[in-house]
Amino acid sequence: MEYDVEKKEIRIDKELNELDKFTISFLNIARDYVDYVIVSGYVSILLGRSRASEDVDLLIPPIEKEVFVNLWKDLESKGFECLNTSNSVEAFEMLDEHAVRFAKDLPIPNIEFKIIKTDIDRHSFDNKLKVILDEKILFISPLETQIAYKLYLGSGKDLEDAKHLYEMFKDKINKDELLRFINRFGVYEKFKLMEEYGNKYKFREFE
Amino acid sequence: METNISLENLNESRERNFMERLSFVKFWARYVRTHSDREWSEQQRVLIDSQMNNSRDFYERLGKTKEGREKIKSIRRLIVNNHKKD
Repeated sequence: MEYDVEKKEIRIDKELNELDKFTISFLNIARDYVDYVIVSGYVSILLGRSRASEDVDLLIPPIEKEVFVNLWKDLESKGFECLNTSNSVEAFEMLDEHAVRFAKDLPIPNIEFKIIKTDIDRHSFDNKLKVILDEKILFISPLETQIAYKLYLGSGKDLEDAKHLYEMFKDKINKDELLRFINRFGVYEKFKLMEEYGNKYKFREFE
Repeated sequence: METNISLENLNESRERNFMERLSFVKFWARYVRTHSDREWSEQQRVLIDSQMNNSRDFYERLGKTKEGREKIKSIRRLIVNNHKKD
């Protein structure tokens, strides 16, 4: 895995799992209609974390009704369905209030499709990183924001996701930017705990 | 027979478990950093695909009966409603 900070690009030559394939199949359709950024758990999974997930979170800028309805038709024709409603206009109206979810065949996994609402959402979108998987391209939230936000969410799983990203990229992430978000979210103690706790138990070195 | 449960011991155990988890996450991240993408992602693929296959099998079995199909509808509602509370 190579992270080119200047280009804001991460290249991965990975064996795709079912969750990767599901996400790529959705984005292959959606990218013709909307720009997006992937946030939360799937970012860590894409970048190597050893866990699965029930959903993949996407943030998108505000979207016109007509564009959304066309996207809906395209998704439907390729086997995706919305878990919230079978009516595209109703789904569009829901987007003002909350995310809508799309799945294929079964409820899990699903894509959580959400409009940008907060300045943190906007920051993630405006500063997204490009992930190149073979010839496929995905856009993910900047790592500094992602780590701080996961610390803020604070469940065991979230702290582990934050720890994974931090350990993977600590030599390359922008420490000032990370601290800025950590202080903004009020999670400095959790950050220190995450570092301290990860050093408690010894594992062998690789040969 | 009554079992005495010490909350203090339970809390210590929970914290120890969390430290172990984070230590393992650090170990695994080091593995990913020091091995080729193909090596670590093959292991990740086995883990994720097996969980997704289990989930698919579960839903397929459930979908074979009328009662099961009703349960799937409830699960869908649960997924959607849980999110609205977030």
